[in-house]
This record gives sequence, C-alpha cells and structure tokens, in this order.
Amino acid sequence: MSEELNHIDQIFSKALDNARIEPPAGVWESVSSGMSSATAVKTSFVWFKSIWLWTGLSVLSLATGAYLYLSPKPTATLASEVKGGKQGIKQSENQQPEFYNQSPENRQVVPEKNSNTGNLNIAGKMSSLPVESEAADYIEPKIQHAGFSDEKLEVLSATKQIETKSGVSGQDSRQQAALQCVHSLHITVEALGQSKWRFTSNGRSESCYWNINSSETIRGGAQFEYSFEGKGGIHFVSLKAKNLQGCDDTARTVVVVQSESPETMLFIPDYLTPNADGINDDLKVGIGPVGGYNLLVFDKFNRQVFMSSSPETSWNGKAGFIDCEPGVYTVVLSYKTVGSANWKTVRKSVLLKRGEE
Amino acid sequence: MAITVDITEKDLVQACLRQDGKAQTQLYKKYSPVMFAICLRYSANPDNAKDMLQEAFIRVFDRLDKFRFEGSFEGWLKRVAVTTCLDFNKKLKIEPYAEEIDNFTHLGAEAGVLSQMGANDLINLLQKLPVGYRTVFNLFAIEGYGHAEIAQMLEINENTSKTQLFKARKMLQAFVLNSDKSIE
Repeated sequence: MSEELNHIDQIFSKALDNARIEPPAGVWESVSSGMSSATAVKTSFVWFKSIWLWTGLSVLSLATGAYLYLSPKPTATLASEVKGGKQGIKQSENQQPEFYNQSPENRQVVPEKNSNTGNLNIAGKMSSLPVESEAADYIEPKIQHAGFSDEKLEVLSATKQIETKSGVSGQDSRQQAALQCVHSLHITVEALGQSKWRFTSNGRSESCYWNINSSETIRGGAQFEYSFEGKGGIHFVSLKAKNLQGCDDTARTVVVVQSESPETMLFIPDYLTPNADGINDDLKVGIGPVGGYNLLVFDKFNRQVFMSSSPETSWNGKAGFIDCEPGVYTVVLSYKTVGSANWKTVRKSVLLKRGEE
Repeated sequence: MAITVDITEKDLVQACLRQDGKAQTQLYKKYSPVMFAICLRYSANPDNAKDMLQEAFIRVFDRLDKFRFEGSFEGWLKRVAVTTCLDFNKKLKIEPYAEEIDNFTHLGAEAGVLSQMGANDLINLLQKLPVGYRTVFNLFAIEGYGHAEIAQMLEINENTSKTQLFKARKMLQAFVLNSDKSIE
C-alpha cells in the first residue's frame, strides 16, 4: 500500500514539478494595469526629482556661462560643459539627500547605479544637445540599456508598440469588461444510464462547444448528451460557451464511467514479497465492479493454497497458517459482470519471493 | 550557454527594476507558464488560478528589488507564486483543515491509470481535492517541503499536515477507482 502511495507522489511530482501551462490571455493586461497605479506614483516622483536636477543644472550652466564669458579660450567649451553636467547632477543630489531617504524605491534611477550605461548615452548626445535637455533624457527611466542583444531589443520594442497602440483608454475598457464578466458557467451532470450522461449548462444555449477528454469537440446547445459506451474510466468534459451575462466562459467537469466489463480495470501483479515491510506483501487484484468473484491460487504441484470470493481479500503468501515456499504459483481468477450469468476466467503465473525487497 | 542565460536573466531583472515596460512584458512572457502551472495546482478552478497568477506577478514586480541574485531566479519566482497561492486560499475563507471526508471503501489502487494521465488531467484531479488536502499534497509531494515546514507555513499542527497528506493520497486513489462516491 505504502509503495502505491509513494508512487502517487512520484507521478504528480514528475508530471507537475516543472510543468509549463500557458496562462489565458488578459492576465498580463490586469497585471500591468495593477502595476500602473504604482508606477504612476513613481514617475511623479521622478518628475519631481527632475525639477531639482533642472535647478541644479541651470545654476551650473549659468556658472559655466559666466566662466566661458570670462574664459579667454573658446575651445574648452564642450569638455567643461560635460563636466559641468555631471557635477550638476551629483550636486543636486547632495543638496537633497533626505529626498532619497524618503523614497528608497526610486533609487534605481539614481545615476551611480546606472552610471555605465547612462554615461554612454549622455556622452553620445552631449555633442549636439544643450545641457538641460540631456538632463531630461538622462532622468527618463526608459532608456534602452546595453546588455540586451539587438534581437531581444527588437522583440521588446515590437511588443511595446502594440502596447502603445492599444493605448490607455483601450486598456481601461478591457478592464471594465473583465470586471463585468464574472465566471458563472457551470455544468450539471446527470446519469442517464450505465454509460450515458446528460450535461446541462447554465449559460446561453447558442454556440456551446463541448469537449470530451481534450480531443473531441462537439458543437451543441445548453443540453448535451454523450454516451461513453465501452469507455470505462475517467472522462473530462469541458464547455466553452457564453454565460448568462453574455461573456465567454468555460466550465469543466469530470465523470467516471463504470465499466460494464470489469476487465478494463483488471490487474494482477507479477509477484509478491511477503516480508511485512508494507511493500507488495500480498497479492492485490485490481478489478472493476463485479457480480461474482473467485480467486484460486495453486502451487507447482497443482495443489490449491488459497481461495477468496471477494476482491477485498488478497493472498498473503500463506497456505492456511503456513508460509508457502518461494516459487511460481498459478492464479486463476473467475469473475462475472454485474447482472450477467457468464463467468469469465483469467489465468496468470505469479512469483512468490522471500528474502527480497 | 548557461552563462548567457544567466546574463540575460540578470539584465532582464535589472531592466524590470528600472520600470522598463518592455522588460516587464518579457519577464511575464518567459515565466508565466511555469507560474500558471503552480497556480493551477493550488487552486480549485482555473479562474482562481488566473487571479492567483495576477496577484503573484504584481507581487513579483513589487518585490523584485528584494531579489539578491543569489540562487536561481526561477526558484525565487516559484516561491513567490506558492506563497501568493497560500495567501489567496487563506483569503477565500474556507475552513480548510476541518473538512473530513470519510467512507473510502475499496482502496486497492492501481497507479497505472494515473501514470498515463497528462499534467492537465492530474491538475484536474488535484483541483477536485478539498483545499487543505490539495495544499499539503502540493507542498509535500511537488514542492518537497517536510511536515515541520508545512506546519509552520500553514500555521497548523504537524500531525494535521501528515493526516491531510495521507487523506489527499487516499482520495486521489479513490478518484481513480471508487470515483462514483467522490466525484459529483
């Protein structure tokens, strides 16, 4: 029993540990709109901060202007401007240290952190632009950063374009629509017989797409009947339709079809190891619902060592109270389907092991 | 190869920290399938999973500056997803650990049926479990936490965690064999 239990753990962990399932569309929109309120606050801080930088820079540019005016050499202009620009940024920061303390989350845009990439951008634009506009460029947090390959940047900018095209108002309306659309679709299941089921949707009846086991899709109405004749086991039924609010919605349900023939679930193990370690200690026969059941076990001399008339009772490797010798044993299983009079018989050789796992 | 992946990952995170919209979209696209699979496992239905995913990503972007580039970024994301899911289930105000589901007869399960199922089917079965069973089973069997850790995370007794796990496994077995009783 415990081995089977551990086995369940393994099956799930193997299949699901690194599972990747594409989320439905629309989640990212909600995420980014959920974040946009937070970023709005942040950008306003940046804007506010830029005022300080501007003040600092304009003071400095005035100073450089004065210096240039007094300076006899006009060739030094550019270099000193660059220098002045940088100092301006640093100084304005130094003037307002408490501002950064107030909003540590905005520190990502502090120049020291970005100095590698930021300086490049500044130096590149410096030659053609006046000092003040560089400062604005520099603070703008959406500078393209070195470190991404060109390919990536292209992909990134393509997605960005789509985002900007859809615009804020589009996003808002989508969000509103999403708010109105509440999941309400539900499937009611009704058994019509041994293997026939009726599924009823509580949504609108037009264009209902019923899907069985992710393979077969049938277009139908709000009521849908399906026969799992001869397909015993677990079946997943999902529905894609408009719910009562008129929104696209999905619902899922699981039905388990009892097989008319018990052999679809028939399983006789290959061996048993009766050493009381909890693993394969007895011979458990798996079988579907039966109307009659008889299990006989014979040894190699064709002597009967065990008999059972219920699937619940399994052979523990003993003949009465005596442990059987290790070796091959023959299992003869007779069963009949519920409501039937015909017995069917299955034979199998199983191995009794002792002194092993 | 591994090195380049690391570099882009780090760059991506840093770009996101600078509120770069493109990088944020990129990060979402790259990791949302993994995160969504986790959310599905912890949720009762795909709609809850969608909400969980949304909350998880808002939390990721909110706390990205706390990631110190020690250890795997994907591991960090997964942990954020799991905690978000736990919080989400807590907020749903279901009595998660009081539920008792009895009367499993016939438990001679055959795991063969389960091993033939795909990830989606297994998730469907998980979603049929009561929230408490599901949470403990996920944390133990898939995330690999011990009972002591689980007890701490969920603020429950260690023995409760063990019982819930045992019952979860039994119920999953019962789904396969004895399903007329356990599934609507």
